[in-house]
Amino acid sequence: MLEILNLHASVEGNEILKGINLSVKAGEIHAIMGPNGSGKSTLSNVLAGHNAFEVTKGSVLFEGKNLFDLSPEERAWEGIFLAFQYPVEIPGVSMTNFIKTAVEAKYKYQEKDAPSPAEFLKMMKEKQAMVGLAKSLAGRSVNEGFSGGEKKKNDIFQMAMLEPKLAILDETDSGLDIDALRIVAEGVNTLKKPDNAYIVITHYQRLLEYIVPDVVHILHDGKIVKTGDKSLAFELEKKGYDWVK
Amino acid sequence: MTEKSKDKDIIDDLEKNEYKYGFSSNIESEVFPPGINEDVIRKISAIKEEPEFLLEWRLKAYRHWQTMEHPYWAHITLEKPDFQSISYYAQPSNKPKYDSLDEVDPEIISTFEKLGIPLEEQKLLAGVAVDAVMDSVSVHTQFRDQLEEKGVLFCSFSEAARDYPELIQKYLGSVVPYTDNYYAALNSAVFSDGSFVYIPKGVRCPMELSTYFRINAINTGQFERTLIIAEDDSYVSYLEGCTAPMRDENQLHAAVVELVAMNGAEIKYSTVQNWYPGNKEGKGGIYNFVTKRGLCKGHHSKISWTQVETGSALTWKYPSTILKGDFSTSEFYSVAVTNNYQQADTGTKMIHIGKNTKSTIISKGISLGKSNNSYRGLVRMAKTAENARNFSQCDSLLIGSQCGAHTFPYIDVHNKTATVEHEATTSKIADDQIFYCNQRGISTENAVSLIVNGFAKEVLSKLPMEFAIEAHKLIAISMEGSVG
Amino acid sequence: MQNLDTYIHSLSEKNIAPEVLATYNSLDIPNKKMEDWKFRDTQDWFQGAYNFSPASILTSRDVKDSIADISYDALLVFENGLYKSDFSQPQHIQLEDRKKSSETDFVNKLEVANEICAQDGARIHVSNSESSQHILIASFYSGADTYAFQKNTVYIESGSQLTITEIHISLSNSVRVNHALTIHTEEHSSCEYTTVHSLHNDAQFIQHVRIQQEAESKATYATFPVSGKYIRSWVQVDKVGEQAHTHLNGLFFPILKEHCEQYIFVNHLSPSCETHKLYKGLANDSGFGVFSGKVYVARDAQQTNAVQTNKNILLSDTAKIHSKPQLEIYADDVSCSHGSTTGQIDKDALWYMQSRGIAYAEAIQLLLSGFINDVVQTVSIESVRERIRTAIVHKL
Repeated sequence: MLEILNLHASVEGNEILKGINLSVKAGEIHAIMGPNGSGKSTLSNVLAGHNAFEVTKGSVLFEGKNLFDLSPEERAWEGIFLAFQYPVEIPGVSMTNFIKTAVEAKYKYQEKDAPSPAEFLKMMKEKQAMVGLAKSLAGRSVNEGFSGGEKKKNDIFQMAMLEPKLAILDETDSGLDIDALRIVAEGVNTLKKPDNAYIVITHYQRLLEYIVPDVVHILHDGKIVKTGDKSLAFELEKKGYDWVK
Repeated sequence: MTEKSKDKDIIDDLEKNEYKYGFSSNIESEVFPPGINEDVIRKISAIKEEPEFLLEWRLKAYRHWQTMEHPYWAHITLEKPDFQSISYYAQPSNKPKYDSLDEVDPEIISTFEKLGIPLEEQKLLAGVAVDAVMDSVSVHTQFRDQLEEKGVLFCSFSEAARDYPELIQKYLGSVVPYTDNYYAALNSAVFSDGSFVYIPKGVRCPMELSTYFRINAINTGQFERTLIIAEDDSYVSYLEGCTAPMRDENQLHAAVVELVAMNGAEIKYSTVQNWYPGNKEGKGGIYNFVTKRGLCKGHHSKISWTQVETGSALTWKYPSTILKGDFSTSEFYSVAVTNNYQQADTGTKMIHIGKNTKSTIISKGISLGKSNNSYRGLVRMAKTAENARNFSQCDSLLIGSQCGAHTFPYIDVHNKTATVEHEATTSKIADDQIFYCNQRGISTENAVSLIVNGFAKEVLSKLPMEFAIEAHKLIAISMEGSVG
Repeated sequence: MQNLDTYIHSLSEKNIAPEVLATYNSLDIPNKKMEDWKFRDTQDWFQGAYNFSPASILTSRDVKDSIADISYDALLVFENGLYKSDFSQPQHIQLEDRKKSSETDFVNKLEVANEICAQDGARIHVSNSESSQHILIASFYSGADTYAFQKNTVYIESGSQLTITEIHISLSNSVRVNHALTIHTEEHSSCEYTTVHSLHNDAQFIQHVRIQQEAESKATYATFPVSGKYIRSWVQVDKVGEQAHTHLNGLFFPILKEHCEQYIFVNHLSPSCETHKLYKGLANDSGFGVFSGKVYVARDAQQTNAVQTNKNILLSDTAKIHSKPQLEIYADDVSCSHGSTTGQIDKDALWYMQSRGIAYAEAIQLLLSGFINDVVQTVSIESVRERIRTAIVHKL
């Protein structure tokens, strides 16, 4: 599904990613762990197409398509979803209107008829219940005045609505208490299907107790320095990041 | 006759007339030769069969106008119009005849299509009365009988002058005297037509009253005069919307609106203003000088102004309220979008005189292209305004680096128990917000439109439903081509 | 005794640049038809008869009485715009000669009059001063019907710092003062200038301040018109270099028939500059206060950050305050805001304090002291801060 080959990327002239190689197949969950500044968020932003990050070398193929030929919204339509570390507040734009615009754009790209208002509302209700997002939030502006936990749940709710092929969860666990973490993780697990894949980016092993990865990668100084199964995460937790340096 | 078939008749009637707003229709008009003098004013008054007092009033206004100087404003670039090159009266003949649509700028037609015209039909089906003012004379008055049952008077100003002269004599100029300003004086001398609304005591007007104004005949200035009187404990919601066809020369529009609210009465006045703004090079477009003022005359009266301003090359407009009655309240909600070379200088005046009066001002300015968008407002707490309160919020959004956004609030407080709060911010759309939308599959253009509509939401939500939808579309259209 | 025009024409023409005189003659007398003068006509400043060369009466006792409570590193004393070396302690402060300018960029006729008539003033030039010194300027105005001119110039060279306090003191009732100040901060320099007016209740004072800031310089200008019949301050800041930061603070408190006006214009001409404005007003009796602030952001001044705050409280039925906080913005990547509130003392707070046993009058004192506290606190020299606080509290 996703093939990353020798990816180099920089921001404001500083090279952050220094040759990433990663292959993700449908049905897999990959965890990427690393200390602060190792390039985790840069990787997720590069995959989603943020223009502050410059790709200097390497290639990324998504379902056989060159990702760098696609605009951020085209990547979204193709099925890449980024759950943000810090979801953005958009004052005045209601959640309902926002997600409706996004869903309709995707259907249009896929040349399918968008769901009727009734179907859409039904879908919203179901998915909100799934991630435990209060119904009242739908009428509010996107992320405005949401608590940290609500923002994260809201991102997972959007993921449920957009049904991506590849979801990248960027430090989704940061700022969540244990209950909120469990609810978010349950939502993520429910959405897991044989034909989609996850990249879970995290600093701590905690999240991986709930979302169990097939493969764990350790990122350090812009490179993947170790790859293993889920036991690698436990080992890392015990020994600390100094171990990989 | 059932309600439905009645509506149908009206629609048929409209279709027969083929009256579509905004089309540059080539109606045979009786147009005065350009120029203004006392004879022109006498002639206007004679054609309209006006009572003597009205002619006298017009002449007084004209004589006063001649003594006035053309105003100068710091944030508007304008040459003084040549008032002798304007024709002051045009009357459509009985048989409208249309030429082909090819004469109209296709851009404007496509704009109309995007807006989902025909609007009249939508309005009629929704049960909204339409009083269409074509050029200077009212050609359509709907639902009049139904309104009359309730005692509501809703007619053209000319008719009102003939049929209810005592009301006109009592209230005309009572809120905006002809001495008020240059363009109000000019309007008082030569006003062509407009709407008159009278809501009797205790009556809630059963429908939204709506009017379309348009400018039509070449070189004909348009000088509407609107007067709305709400007696004790009555309620009325009045909608005004405008579109105008393409013109090369700048056209002048100088309207006067007067509102009077008695004890416990409420007037809600909403405007969607979409006059032709000129082309991308800043050529053409309407000059819009409007004096709108309401008087909260009675205690516990309320006047709300809601406006969405997207059109006109030049807008100069400050819908204002004099809060005279104790416990009276007023609100001003405004969204102004300027693009290309448009200039807008708009805002409000809230003059607090009565005790415990309260006003709220929410103004949202959006500037794009090479345009300039200014908020200019005055909040005055007179010495008598015990416990009066005002809250103002003026936010500006800049899109692009060639435009300007300005805020000029004047706050005068002469009473120690009064409270005035004013806040203003200027910002741009954050790149992070755009990226967040992009990542969810929303294109940049749509994201900007979403965010801008979100920015203006507080105001748009104050509009009656059918207007709100139109306003959303209008805002999107006014921003087209400027993002990317 | 003569009027201003006669006085100007009696001055030796050699000392006046012809361009400047031409500008003076071409400008109208500021009057109520002008936007920034609509509350005060200045006909009397041009046509009244005054004494332009009063005799000196200043004594060391006057100086001592007026500034005993203030600490300083250097002291410059002026009387009616002339330097008094007997009373001054300039230490190693560099004082420059008065340069007559042929600049013709003046905001109004009164500012030009200052350029023509001011013979003297504090002309401070600082270089190689990394630790900030405190210079106290004591400007006295004396004599009957005196019309005094003074022009101070402050030039801070790159990397230097300076703190200045100027106290304006009248020794007689009927003086009027036309004062000007220019401050120039070179790159990486910093200047704090605090003005305090302590004038008789018939004294009148008009001031024009121009501040020019180069890149990464910091300027703080604060004004405390404590007393005087009419005090008008006009300040313009031009940020000609990037990342120039400015703090502008003020507190005005007209009582009786005092009239106080503050006009503050900040021009963001370069990117990444910051401005913080904090002006507070109190008005009692028939006091009349005006705040007019503007932040202008030029097209190139991206990443501007400007915050304007104006808060006012009216304490009587006949007091008036006019507030006009404006923004004029031509750059899109900016964060500009202004807030203005005018109201009365917080009644809930008053009630809360009374219910805790604090007497009404005392509660009001406490609340108003709280209201003025943040502005007064911006002054870095403690003895100056206390001087201002005492004077304001005394007025309450």
